[in-house]
Amino acid sequence: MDADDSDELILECWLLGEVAAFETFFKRHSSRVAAYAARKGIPRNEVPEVVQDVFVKLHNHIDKYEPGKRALPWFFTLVHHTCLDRLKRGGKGKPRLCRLDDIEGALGIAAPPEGGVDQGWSVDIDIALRQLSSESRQVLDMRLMEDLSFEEMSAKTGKSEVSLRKAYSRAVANLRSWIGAPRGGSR
Amino acid sequence: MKEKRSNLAEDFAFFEQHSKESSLAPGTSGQVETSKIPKGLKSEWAHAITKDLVRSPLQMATVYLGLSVLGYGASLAVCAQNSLGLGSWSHRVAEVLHHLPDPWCPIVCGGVFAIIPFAISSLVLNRFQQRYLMTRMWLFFASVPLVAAGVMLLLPHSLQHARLHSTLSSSSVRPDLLSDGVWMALWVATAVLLPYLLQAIVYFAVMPKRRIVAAD
Repeated sequence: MDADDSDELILECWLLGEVAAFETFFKRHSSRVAAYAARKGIPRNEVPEVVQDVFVKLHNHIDKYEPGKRALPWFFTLVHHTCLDRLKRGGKGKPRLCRLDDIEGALGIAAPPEGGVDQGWSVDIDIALRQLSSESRQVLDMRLMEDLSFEEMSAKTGKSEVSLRKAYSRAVANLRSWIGAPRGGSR
Repeated sequence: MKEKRSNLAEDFAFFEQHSKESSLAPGTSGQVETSKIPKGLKSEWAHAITKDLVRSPLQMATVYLGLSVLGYGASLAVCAQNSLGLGSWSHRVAEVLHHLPDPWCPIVCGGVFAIIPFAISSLVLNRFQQRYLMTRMWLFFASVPLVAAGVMLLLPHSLQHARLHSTLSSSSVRPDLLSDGVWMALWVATAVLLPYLLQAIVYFAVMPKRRIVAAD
């Protein structure tokens, strides 16, 4: 396999079982996948796992590549969706802190026109949640996931209702500023 | 939705641009810069992928030849062909098959001889190795059933089918309708063409479908 060979030819050779094609494609694109994963907000220590997921997925689904079709956009779709899956899982199968649709409701983000989940927003919110302090995330968790009132939250944490309201407002404002969401629609 | 699409276009532009800037060494016209290559190829998952694929034609030829020898051996253990069988059981099966009316006797005998190696190689080789054999090594791949049938043809008893029938113990052996030459020709045709036919079916199953785009 020559380094000058096109991606299309390399994918076809991989499809036909040539180990050299896999090695060439990996060498050519692994750093690109890593850079893209980092750009999408995946923590640095999880990036090698994403690279691994991408190439294992590519190997398992390479039959779906139609020879003659442009290889890079097809590969990019696979990389993009692998990154989204990783972000949605929150890494290593950890449960997500808050339901994204609850957060979207609190931030006043309109539902997508088709009524489906707008993955673009969800991913942005997911990344934004990671930037919050643990205290802010705990407040959001209690308010949105457990659906507790501020009175119940106060009894649970021992903090005053006023400070919890402020912490909640601060967390929502931070999320809004991070994703650039419109104002209004808080609970 | 438009905004999302434009984000995706930006992402793709970043993705496309990245390797031009950082994966290629300047002035090497497509050479991969080794310092940027992650060590991932030495990891366990990469090794698993590599194991699925073919390192060299020689390696693949050795594996396929080994499987074929094993398969034809197993076939001769199941049913004796041209008086050559591995074990008494294979001769008993051959005797049963020789009671079949013509032309089914040579067809079934040839089919049994060919189908076992095909089944073994189909079960052992994965779809990548099958594709490699059928596209990169098709001449070698196609010659194996021919050579196997040719070897059987060269056996001392291969053209003595009538004599073979006279040695069968049962009194109800059917009368010989086919001459030795015709019997052997039918046997060879089945032993060679059956694996080709089955392999053609496998080919369409393991090869990706190309989308046919209608011209405007």
